[in-house]
Amino acid sequence: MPSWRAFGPDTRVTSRRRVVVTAVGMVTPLGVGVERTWRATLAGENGVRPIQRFDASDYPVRFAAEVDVPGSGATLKQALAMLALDEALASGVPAPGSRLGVCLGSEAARPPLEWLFRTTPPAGEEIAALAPDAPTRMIARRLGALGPRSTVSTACTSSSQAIGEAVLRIRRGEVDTMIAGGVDVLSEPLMVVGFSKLGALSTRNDAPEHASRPFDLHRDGFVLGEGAGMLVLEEREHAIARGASILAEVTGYGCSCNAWRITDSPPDGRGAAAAMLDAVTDAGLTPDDIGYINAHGTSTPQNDHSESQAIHRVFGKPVPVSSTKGQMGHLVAACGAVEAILCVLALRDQVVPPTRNLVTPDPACGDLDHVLVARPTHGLLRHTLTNAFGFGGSNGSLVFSMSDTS
Amino acid sequence: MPRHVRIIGASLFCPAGIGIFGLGPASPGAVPGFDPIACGVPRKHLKTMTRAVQLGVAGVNAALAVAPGWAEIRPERRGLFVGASPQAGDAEDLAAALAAAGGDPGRFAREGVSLIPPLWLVKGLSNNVLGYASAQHDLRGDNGNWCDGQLGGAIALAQAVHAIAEGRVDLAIAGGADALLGAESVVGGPCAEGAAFIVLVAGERGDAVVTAGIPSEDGVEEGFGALGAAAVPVAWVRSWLTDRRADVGGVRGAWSS
Repeated sequence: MPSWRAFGPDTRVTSRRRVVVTAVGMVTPLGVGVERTWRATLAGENGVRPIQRFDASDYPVRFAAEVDVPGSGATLKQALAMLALDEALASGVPAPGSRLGVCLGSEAARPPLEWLFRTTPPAGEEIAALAPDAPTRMIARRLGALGPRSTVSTACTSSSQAIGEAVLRIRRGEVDTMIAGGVDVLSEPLMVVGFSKLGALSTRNDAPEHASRPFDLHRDGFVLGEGAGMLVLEEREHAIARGASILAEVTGYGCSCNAWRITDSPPDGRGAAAAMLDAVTDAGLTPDDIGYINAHGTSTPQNDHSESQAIHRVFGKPVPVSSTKGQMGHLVAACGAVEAILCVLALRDQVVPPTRNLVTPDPACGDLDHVLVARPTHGLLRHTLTNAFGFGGSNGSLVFSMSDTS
Repeated sequence: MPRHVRIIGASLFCPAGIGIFGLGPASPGAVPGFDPIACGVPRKHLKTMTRAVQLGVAGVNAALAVAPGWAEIRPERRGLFVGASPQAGDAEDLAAALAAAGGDPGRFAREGVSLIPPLWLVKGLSNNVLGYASAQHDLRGDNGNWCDGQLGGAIALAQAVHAIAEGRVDLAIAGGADALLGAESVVGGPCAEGAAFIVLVAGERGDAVVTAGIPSEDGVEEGFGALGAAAVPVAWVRSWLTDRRADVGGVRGAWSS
């Protein structure tokens, strides 16, 4: 019988341990670093431009939301993960050992075209660098994390589920600290081709800065983005004992599956609604308690319609909603982590970010309370919710709450 | 307190064979006689499924086929937990585009792109076992797909056990699928393909799961060569079935308790 490493009785949970966010780091198309990205997001700045990384002049889509970091493919992906991690750990590195784990959302890095043109197969180490878990292994090695290590690959839901899994592992008592987040690099020839062929991308080649327009009547698809977001999650008492600064508490995680079609979501938003409701319930809250929703809001006709139906279904009344993909495009496997961090910052600074390019709200999406410019909340924002929904049907929602220690 | 976790069904596809025949000696290679259509994989989806995904969906189908009473559980309380390897799609789907390009990235864009099948990207999604099997069986609850090499299937099994124990779902299908044949030069050794899934429920029915712990990679059988994300589930199901060979019946690759 294969061995199963059982938990000892001392780590069995009989009451729920609370999980807090003690540090964050990110790299996005809006800039390197949390504060740079946050300021740009609040200002509604644009991160979408003509593709610089390769000659896209003959591709059907010639723009993307690229990061301002040199490199491409697997090398860039690992660099982004490390940049975000370094920022998150700037104020302290967690103790190595079995009480520290790593859980990332990540998809395979895409092979460069040059490899495909070669007649010899790629070497083993080249393939290993492309693997979804390459950043996870790298971070675990660097930090001496001997606790759980895992890599969630559920397309756009990856890093939302990774954060959720990390929360569950801390609650269970498997670990005291988890590095959780996500990373992705999408501005690559094969990704532009693949998503274009599905009709998923905006084709506004003449006006890239207006291409990502979540919930707008004239939206025509999403914009490929890239970046990384990392969160240090800790058991609350552990964080307090070491005197850590607590940014927010992760109070709720909900996960569901559409069980529908690979690239579509059900028009009534049933799966998205289930994830949101699960997250709110898991947090011990009611929908009325949520003061801001960072929507998945991809800017595709289908997603935004389905998600808006789900929001109506769960909340029943207008809740401030925005999709920051209007500013930075769709970070796919990294979007859940980056948008989770934005929810943490909204609580910290008591201001919710806007949706860029939302000029004419689509009436088919119903009467949502769209945030069109950064909106101060004057100390009233206590709980935020972020959504991530992916190809394949996985849905993840997370609730962040003001910490009662902050 | 955590709920009891029980196994009410399992499936096995490995180079030793399908179902009861899969308990034979481990050796590298293909799953003999694997026919996805006969295993309930919808014909209309075959063209957007890699071999590994076909094996995975067949594995889920076979495990559920023998799990008593699972369909009575509400769809929102059914979970699916999968270990997988990233699917690069089939190489031949890009072959015409690469040939047209002749090694020139510009020509690839101008002349090659139009030759790539429209659903090429869909075929390459790493979570396609989860996507297709959840739709086929209306599995709407908690879920996950882990791409951690050989560890992926092990993580899926453990997370499913926790999901039942913690009450997040009432039914969990968990396992892994992979197809590494043809990757011998990259892996540096013999390779195999396979899939294995178990069906878990809460309560007293079925066999108890050993513990709500973390399965390690220690039990992987070297005889298969590289079996990727399917390695731990295949080894686990083979061990479990070997212990109870006398009182299980094989049904197209699966057993129930």
